Amino acid sequence: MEAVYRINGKEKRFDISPGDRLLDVLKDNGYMEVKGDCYEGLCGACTVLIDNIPYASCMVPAAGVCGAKITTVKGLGDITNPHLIQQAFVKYGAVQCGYCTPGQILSAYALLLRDPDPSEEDIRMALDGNLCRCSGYAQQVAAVKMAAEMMREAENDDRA
Amino acid sequence: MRISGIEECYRPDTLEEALRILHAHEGEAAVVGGGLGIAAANDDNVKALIFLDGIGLKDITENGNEVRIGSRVPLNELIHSGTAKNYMGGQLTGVLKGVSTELIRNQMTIGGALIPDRRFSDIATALLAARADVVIFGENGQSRISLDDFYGRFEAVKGAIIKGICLNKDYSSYNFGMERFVRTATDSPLVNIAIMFKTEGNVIRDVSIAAGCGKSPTERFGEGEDFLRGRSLDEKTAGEFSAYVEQNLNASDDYRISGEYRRHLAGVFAGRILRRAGVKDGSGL
Repeated sequence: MEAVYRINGKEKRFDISPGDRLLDVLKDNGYMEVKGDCYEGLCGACTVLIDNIPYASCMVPAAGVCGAKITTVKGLGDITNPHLIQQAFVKYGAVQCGYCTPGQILSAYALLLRDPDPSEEDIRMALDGNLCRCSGYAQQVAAVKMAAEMMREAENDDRA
Repeated sequence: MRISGIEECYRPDTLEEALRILHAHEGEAAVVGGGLGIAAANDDNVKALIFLDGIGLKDITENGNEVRIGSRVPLNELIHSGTAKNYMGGQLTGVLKGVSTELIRNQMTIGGALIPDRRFSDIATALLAARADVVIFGENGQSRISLDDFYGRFEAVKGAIIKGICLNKDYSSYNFGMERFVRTATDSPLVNIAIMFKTEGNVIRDVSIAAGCGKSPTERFGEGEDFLRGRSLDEKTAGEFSAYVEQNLNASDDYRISGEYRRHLAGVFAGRILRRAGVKDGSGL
């Protein structure tokens, strides 16, 4: 069956099987920034945003989200033009092996869209599905706090 | 890794159409709200998926004396909804916040968590104790039954589609608490227990208890309700009830945990819920 998605702002058409998971559709079509292969929704490395809400793409039937807006971490920023959250992660040393980082950043982004000034508890709750086996949680939480501040400042600058 | 067995997908515009497709596939089709259950179960017997996203069922509304929640409402949407947060002073949403992870709560729908095959879920336990009603759409049209009845009439409701749940505001002033034990955030619970009760003075009057113990699916714990009714909310009751649950709850062994350990945990949890309510009520616990 043909499936149409809007991935990182571009319309994409793929031939998928009815039982395909979104993670596999993305990986098979070159979106290698989407990590993960637990296929239990456990690790969160496969996180993508579907209409700006974070999901474990390994648990999402691809046929069920046809027409949706899908954002991978490259949709936020890349090495030449990193998003403020990505900059904050680098600044705070919140990246060790980097495997969980795309998912962490997308979960953080969704949180900050919803709540530009989250509490530490809110941040921990928003990231609770993104496991980091390097155990860098303290730096990640600090990075999200800093990113929130940077994003608020940027918005104020834009207004001024 | 494909979800095994799936050969067809449907996206009906009405519940009538969804029901017709469901019945035409004679047990080989599944209704999909968020898709989590389908992806997790990987059930070879399911050949067709019926996605309900064209039908709606995503509203949370207040209607007179009740809160209505559509079956496709994801758990996180419910947790963050003002209407649900106000219900029971936020006790119910407070409990649901502890279920699984943010990513899963974004996908897990209320309807999906209640289907009889998955009635061991924390949400089923919480809503059974909260005496939720279920609105279902079946061959005879729409009907509304208690969640307790829904599980009691498993075979009769099997072919129906869950439209939503209703929470009665009469219970808004009740105490509510749930405790659970899981191995990982996304694992099915090893044991869970939820208690809702009303006190008059310091005496427990109306009470409902639901517990899920792995293989033994979530069900009301009537004997426990009888035990608590009429007792004072104090340390003595909390201790005695804890021991009663440990001795009398129906809990089975499986490869993950023994029934004896399940009962022990449930007893500890039951005492904890009463003590916490007592502290809140100023009952001296």
